[in-house]
Amino acid sequence: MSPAQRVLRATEGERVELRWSADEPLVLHLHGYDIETRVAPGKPAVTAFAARLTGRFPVAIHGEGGSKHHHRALLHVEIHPR
Amino acid sequence: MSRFIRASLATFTGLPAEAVAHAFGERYDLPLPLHLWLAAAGLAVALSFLVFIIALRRGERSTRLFLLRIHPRVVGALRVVSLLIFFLVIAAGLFGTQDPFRNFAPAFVWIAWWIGFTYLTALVGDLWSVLNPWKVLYPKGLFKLPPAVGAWPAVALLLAFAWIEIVWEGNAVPANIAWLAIGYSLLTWAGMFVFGGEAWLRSGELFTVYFGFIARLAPIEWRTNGELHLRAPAAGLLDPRPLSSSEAFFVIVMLTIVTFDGLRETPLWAVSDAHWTAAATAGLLVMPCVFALIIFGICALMGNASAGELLRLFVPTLLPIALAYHVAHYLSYLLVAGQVVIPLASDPLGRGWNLFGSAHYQIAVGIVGARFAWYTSIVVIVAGHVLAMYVAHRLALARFSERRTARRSQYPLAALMVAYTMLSLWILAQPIVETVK
Repeated sequence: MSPAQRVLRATEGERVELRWSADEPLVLHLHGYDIETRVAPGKPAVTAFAARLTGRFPVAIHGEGGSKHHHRALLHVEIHPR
Repeated sequence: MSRFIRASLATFTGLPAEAVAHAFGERYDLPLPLHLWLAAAGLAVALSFLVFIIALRRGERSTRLFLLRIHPRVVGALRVVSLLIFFLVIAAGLFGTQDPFRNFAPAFVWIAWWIGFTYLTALVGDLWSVLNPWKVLYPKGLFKLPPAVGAWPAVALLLAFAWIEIVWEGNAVPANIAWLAIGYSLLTWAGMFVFGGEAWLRSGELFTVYFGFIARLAPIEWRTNGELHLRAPAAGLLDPRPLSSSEAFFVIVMLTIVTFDGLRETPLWAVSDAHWTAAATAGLLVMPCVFALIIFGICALMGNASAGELLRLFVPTLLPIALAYHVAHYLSYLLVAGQVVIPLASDPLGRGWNLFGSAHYQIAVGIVGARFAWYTSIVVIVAGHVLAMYVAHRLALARFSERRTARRSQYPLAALMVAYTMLSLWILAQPIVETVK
């Protein structure tokens, strides 16, 4: 599956936690909820939030090569209404 | 180098969050669920049959009801406000911060004006004809525009504007907006000076032409003497005079850019990043021609008149479907992202001012959710479809002397409208995979 099609689903009101591990230092940005998470090799990180907003929110890698041109989202988090 | 990233859903632990900016123009709409998709599609088709039965009665006149007369001083005041905002956008772009999220110009131009003002026009009529900042300077022309020029300059400018809106990466940079506004002002004033104010506004001022067509959908008619008249929604589309070829193509470009704007966010438009700009530019130029050919083919099936004449007569009846899709696509975005104009009005240059006391307003992202977006989408799309069908029938009755010919002319057009509405619903049911910055 290509990254753009990767989707994680949760329901409004749930508490969501995304656990990350990576083989190079990265800054991950969950759009909409506006949460930034730093992850590095050997240092797993967590993006955690209460799913109060419904919608389809991209997670993008930030600070990657100028960031002026288009980046595909790493994955999407879909929060469905109850 | 390969990269391994794992994510799993688990329980909440709580983590301090660092606020960062979103990509400008980003939307978070969930795809339309299958059952709503089916309900809307079924309803649109069922109501199409109802229109066939009801709309074919002859003799109904479209009525107008006098509403009010706008005092010239009110018009003058509105023009002053319009000019002030116009100069504020340019000043903010040139002298303000270049962060698109902290500058008034991008939020005002792309959200409040280009989306919000379109909806305002569809609701209250042709406000642009009153507020147009380029109309204030009103020079007499030196030369006459040859009739063959038509609205082709406006078509070219609309395509250029759509390219800036949809394709160009630099469209949210405040200074770019200011320079574009200055360049476009010089072009417009030069056109008005050389060819005459009214002549250029009709053939080369793309926003006059654009908002003029949107205003045909409005339930309010603005007359040049300042009188406002109430009318049935979309009654402005019942004009029995066919458009010129250039105006008809302008409408086709309007239909296309709305659809293309949605399509390029779906998985169907999975173009690699390296080719994105070239592919989007090509798509933007090719799609109007494809649409024009399809509509021309449909008009050739309508019978009893030349396809070209029928196209020029009936193409505006597709506008309610396009506007309905536009609303379905952008309404929640306008309501959420549009709020950014509130703090930016107090600090348009991003210098820490607080002119109206609203500089610290926090955007309420949760004011509309997925359910609101879904239900407004399908209601608006079904309503737009029915309106389009109805207007086309009324127009056919006026155009063809026989009721049977009028009805037969509507079968191919109705099929096109159903297909166009289905395409709109299909796009809404697709997940947004637009690239993010």
